[in-house]
Amino acid sequence: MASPITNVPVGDEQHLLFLFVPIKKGMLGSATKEVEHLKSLVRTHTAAVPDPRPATGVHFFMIYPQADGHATPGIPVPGFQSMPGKDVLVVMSLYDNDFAPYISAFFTIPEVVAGLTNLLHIMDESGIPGLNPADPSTAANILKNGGVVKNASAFYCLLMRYNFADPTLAAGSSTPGAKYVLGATFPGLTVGKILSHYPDAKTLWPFPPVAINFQQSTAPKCGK
Amino acid sequence: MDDIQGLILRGYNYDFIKYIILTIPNADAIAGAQKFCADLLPGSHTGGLKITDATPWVNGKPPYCLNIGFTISGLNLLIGADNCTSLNTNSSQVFNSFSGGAVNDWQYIGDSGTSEPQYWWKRSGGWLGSADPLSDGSDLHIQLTLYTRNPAHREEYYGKLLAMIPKTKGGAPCLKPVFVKDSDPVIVNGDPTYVHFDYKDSLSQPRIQTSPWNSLEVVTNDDRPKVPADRFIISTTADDYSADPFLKNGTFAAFRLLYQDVAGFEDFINQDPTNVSPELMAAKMCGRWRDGTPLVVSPDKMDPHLKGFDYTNFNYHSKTLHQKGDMVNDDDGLRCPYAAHIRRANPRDDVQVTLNDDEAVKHRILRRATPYGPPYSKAERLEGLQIQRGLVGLFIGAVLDDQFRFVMHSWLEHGSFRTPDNTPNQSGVDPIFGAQTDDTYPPDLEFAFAVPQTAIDAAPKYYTAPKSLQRYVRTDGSLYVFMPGIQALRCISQGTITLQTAVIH
Repeated sequence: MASPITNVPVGDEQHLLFLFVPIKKGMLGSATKEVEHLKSLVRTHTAAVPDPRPATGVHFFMIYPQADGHATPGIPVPGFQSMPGKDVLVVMSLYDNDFAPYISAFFTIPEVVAGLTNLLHIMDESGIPGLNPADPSTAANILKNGGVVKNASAFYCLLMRYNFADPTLAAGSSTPGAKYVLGATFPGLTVGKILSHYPDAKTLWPFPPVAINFQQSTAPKCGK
Repeated sequence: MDDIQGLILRGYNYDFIKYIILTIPNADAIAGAQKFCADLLPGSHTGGLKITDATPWVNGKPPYCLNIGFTISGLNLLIGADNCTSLNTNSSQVFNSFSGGAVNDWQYIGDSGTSEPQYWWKRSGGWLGSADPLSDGSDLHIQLTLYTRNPAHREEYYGKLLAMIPKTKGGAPCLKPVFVKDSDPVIVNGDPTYVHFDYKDSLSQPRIQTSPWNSLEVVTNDDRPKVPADRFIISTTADDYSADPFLKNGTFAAFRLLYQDVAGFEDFINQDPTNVSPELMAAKMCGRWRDGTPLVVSPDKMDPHLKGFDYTNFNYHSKTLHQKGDMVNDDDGLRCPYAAHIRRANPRDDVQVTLNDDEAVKHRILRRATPYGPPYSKAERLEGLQIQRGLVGLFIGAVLDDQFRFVMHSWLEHGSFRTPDNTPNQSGVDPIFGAQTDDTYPPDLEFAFAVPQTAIDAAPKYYTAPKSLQRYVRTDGSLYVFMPGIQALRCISQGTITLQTAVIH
């Protein structure tokens, strides 16, 4: 007989990723193209490839490029900010498990590895406060030493340098003094569990994904 | 093979071992310490002991074997901080965690509470330093392991080793032993391969894909997956790490000094003998009966007929070619709990385990560890004695982040070892190690397992131990060491990392 969930082990916790990646000025177009390219590759992925979703555990993600010197459009306050002289790529996701297994799960997908490598090429880490050029986790050193797979731990550190989120703060937990509040409707409900237990989940949401028609949703009518 | 230290490719099977940690007392002693390294080189014409390389023995076992490792503090002194920084930049995946040192890794590894670094080295006995160990571990520079056939040889060769230590111009020794621990076998029924919880040990070492030692005997019934050599011997052409040529043919290791609380362990397995036999409890904690019989091979009793590779030929999902017993898929952990020590250290073909997509090959560790201290006696408790005993030695892997650190953090000590997890206590932690002293997460304190049932189609019946798990293995010392190839050892003796410039004398 089922009973309320009162314990959630680490691997079932949901965590936030919230990156502000510094990009060489003028290279946002390349970053956007790379994201679109990756999405198209995922759609055309061969069915023979194992479904990576239980391992990657991504519930949603958002990628937003913002040019240097521009305020975030559509809102009357500054919103996201770039470091002067660089563009910024804002990446947000909610994922299952610890940070390292989440990121390393992508290393088994060659197309994603290629995309991450391209991201390193367009990053601009010049003048980042406190960053020693000899640090093995700089984008330049990771590229010089063989790329993200050969420098997995350094790559985690590179991402963490620009991650606003706290990878130890579990969604739905109440931690006094935490830097933000992260709610969750279903703590412990991982992507893997959804795929395993929701009736016909793998048919309803197959991998590779099928094209889906989304009905137009409506924004509230505001102002004049 | 003459460029690789011998203990990486095979266990030597000597019963009497001495683990030694040396310090370089001051800057004036560095040149002498380098000379000591030079004199240890195989083929060096100076007298004294030599490092044992991996060349197959043609005349049987030598009278002793000797191997060497260096901490980051030791390397900083011997090859210079700039060279270490360079190695960290161009070989970070293998070098970075090593260069951080074991002291700085205590939380990640689970060395918390009574296992914290502030308690290391002195508590176990064996600390020889005139002052207390430094809190950052920076006074521990060189780790040597001396393997011998008997206690008399151990002292004889140790004496010869100490006699090799050069002196400064002022007459002071250039190296001082600050920690020494002798290892003698724990013998059960005449078998010297047991450890202090009375389990037969070292049954499941990884099988290295290419080793000259493999060809010395024809083996046809070894089902263990072959582990690429670059998991244990650093290669400059590995797929998932970059390595400076200086590191080639070397490896990294965690040197661990682990106290075993045998009385606490015995209390736990004997807590409810009317409902669960202590031997079953011990077997469920380990994944093997104490004689080494795997639970998935024989779930309800020891099997005295097993021999050789019978102890290692098994899987959790699909039977291996030569597996004994009536194999059933143990996907639900009914025979061997997910929490059991051997399942967590090597989940084999259980692909539901976090980051196990290759029969655990990427995460295997070579264990070169042996017991210290006398066997436990119940009389100790009556007399109130606090006798130090446990396990000491090296846990070897080229990539600490994927091997020792990964297994300790992600598989032994972490929840969600497996998804989906069908056990009542959500895997918890490895019960042989036990819960960390500051662990308050309820499932980590609980030990639950399915009890053997006679009816084949009976529904699983779970037993939960009434008492909470305690910490049964406490860390009393830890070092991360680089075990160089022989060429690299020559470099170290000359204060360089450039192989071509290291001169052969």
